[in-house]
Amino acid sequence: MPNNTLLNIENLEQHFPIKGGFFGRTVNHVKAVDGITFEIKEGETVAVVGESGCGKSTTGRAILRLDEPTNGKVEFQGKDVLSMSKDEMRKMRKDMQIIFQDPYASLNPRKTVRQTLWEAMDIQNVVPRKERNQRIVELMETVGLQRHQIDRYPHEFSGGQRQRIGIARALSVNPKLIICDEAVSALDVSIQAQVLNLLKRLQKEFGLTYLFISHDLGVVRHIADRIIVMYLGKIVEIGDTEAIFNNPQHPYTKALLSAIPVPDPRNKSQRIFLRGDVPSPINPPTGCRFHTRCPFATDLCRTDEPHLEQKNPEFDGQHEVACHFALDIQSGKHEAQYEMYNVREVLDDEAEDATTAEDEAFSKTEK
Amino acid sequence: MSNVQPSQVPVQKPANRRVENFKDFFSKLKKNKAALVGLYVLIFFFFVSIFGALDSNYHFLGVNSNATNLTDKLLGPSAQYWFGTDHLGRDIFYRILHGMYITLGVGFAATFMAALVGVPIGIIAGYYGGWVDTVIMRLMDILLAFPGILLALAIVSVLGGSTINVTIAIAIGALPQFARIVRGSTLTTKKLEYVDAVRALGARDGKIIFQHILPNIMSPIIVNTTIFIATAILSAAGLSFLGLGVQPPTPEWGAMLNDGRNYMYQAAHITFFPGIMIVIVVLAFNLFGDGLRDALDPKAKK
Repeated sequence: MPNNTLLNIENLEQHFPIKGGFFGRTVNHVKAVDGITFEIKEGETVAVVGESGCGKSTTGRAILRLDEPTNGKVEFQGKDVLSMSKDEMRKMRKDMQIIFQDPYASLNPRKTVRQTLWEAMDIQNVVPRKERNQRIVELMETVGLQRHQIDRYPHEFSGGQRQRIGIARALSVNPKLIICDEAVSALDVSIQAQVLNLLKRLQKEFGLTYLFISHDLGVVRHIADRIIVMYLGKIVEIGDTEAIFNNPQHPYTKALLSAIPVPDPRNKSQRIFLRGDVPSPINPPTGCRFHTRCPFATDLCRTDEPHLEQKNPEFDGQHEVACHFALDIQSGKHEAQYEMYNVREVLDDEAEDATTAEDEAFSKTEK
Repeated sequence: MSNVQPSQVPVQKPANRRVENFKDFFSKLKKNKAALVGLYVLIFFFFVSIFGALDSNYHFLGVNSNATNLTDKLLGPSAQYWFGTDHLGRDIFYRILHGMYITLGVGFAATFMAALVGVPIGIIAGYYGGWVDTVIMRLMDILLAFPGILLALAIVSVLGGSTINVTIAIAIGALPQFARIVRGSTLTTKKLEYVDAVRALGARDGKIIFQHILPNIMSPIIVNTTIFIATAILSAAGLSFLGLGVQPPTPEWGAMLNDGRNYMYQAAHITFFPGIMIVIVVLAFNLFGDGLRDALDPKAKK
């Protein structure tokens, strides 16, 4: 695998203003993405995972400048994307494409597949007019659609087929990088597998690079070379897929991985239940953003923000984590402040107690 | 065997599909009896208007609809004068048929003008947002703050009373409505992922607006247009009734209502027939507009 950096992102920030008041002043900001740095190498698949609202999709959209990022640097093949003029950007877009989550919203209902694909090539002027129809047929076959479906409207296709059309549209301009924004989340499991395998095949055939945004860890494990775990607009852990899955170091990653369902009903895995809810990205917590829900949090976590670091120098690969106690937790030196595995059960017991008390009260009144 | 005549398939399909889509739309419209009645009435009126517009010098199909006959004045409906005669002995039936083109013409022209200006304004406000949106929509709010008839009155009294000025006045009053509806639809449509997809492909704003947003907001525009024609006709009749619109002796329905006002007790038919015709036209447009809305609603597809 070539080791050239394709995409380099430094300190990317996306703050959305909240308008309020009589004159529509900016009252506050939603810090959707708050300073993230990573790079993607040519030909690899990097997955971004995290729960809803952590800034995964926003990151993808900011890279493509679908929403103009507030701050930071996006370098594609060594060129600064954010400082490009409109015309330069237009040319640039040929190399970066996106596949969307909702296959029902991502195609114009009034255009046939042929029109959609033709338009894509027309905008970037990639294939000579005479050859375009031939190319459209090729694209259809590449993504596994029949050539007789070429003049159909989107509503005549199933969700999986529509997603394939979306992929064909992205491929039509021969991009180098494709951002898959929850590209398979809206599909059935069996269709998911088909589309994932299609994506993998296309990657091999055309040497594509993927930024794969997903909340489905099973999918991510199947497709990604490296994983970025995000929480509340920050990267908490980044590393090779196997390293993340076999040896998660950040408490948040551990909790996230423990939530993967095990397909064996007898095997009761120990699931970590986090307390509380994700804090608001308008006023994120100080220090480590995860401290409000972290079982290991100390005063240090509340004041000092941890930075991404390679904690284990012996590991020959990338595995960086933003946690003060990553190594101590692993070695058992630093213990959880409360029993993190049984929180849900404790709550269940409480609920049971409450109902029995209610029952007693009820039977008393009956007497 | 499966790849028989692959070249013919793409050539024929698109034309067929468009026809099929139209058939689908029309079959839905046909189920709505009221809308169909509205449509037939409008088609009939439309042909009558053509004759009215072609015959100049107050003639309708060879009959002078402006011929006075003082011996036959204020007669009620009879076999000779179907809708009776007015205070100058003019045949109301012919005057109504003759005046149809003015009524429909003002309605169509005013709505068309309002749409022609209002739709681009709404799209620009909705698509670009920010201060452009604020400035445009606050201007529209100012227009909207005046009651429609008052605004039209003011404009007509400045420009002077004539058919064209009445049309302009009504169009200006209708502008904010169009701008608002179009802006709202644009806002929802531009957030859809297919618009993002063409943006990610590097499409220019013009292409996005004309090929992706406009075709997808056509149905609210069409429906609103149909229903607004009815309102425009009412406003035009109202202005003529107040003496600000089309000047007599042009057989405009609102002006005819005004003519009959003094004879309301002796000869009610002079006001009744033009009045009922206005009601019928407005009703026909409303029924048809409602039917259009149901037939064009993509959520009700099949």
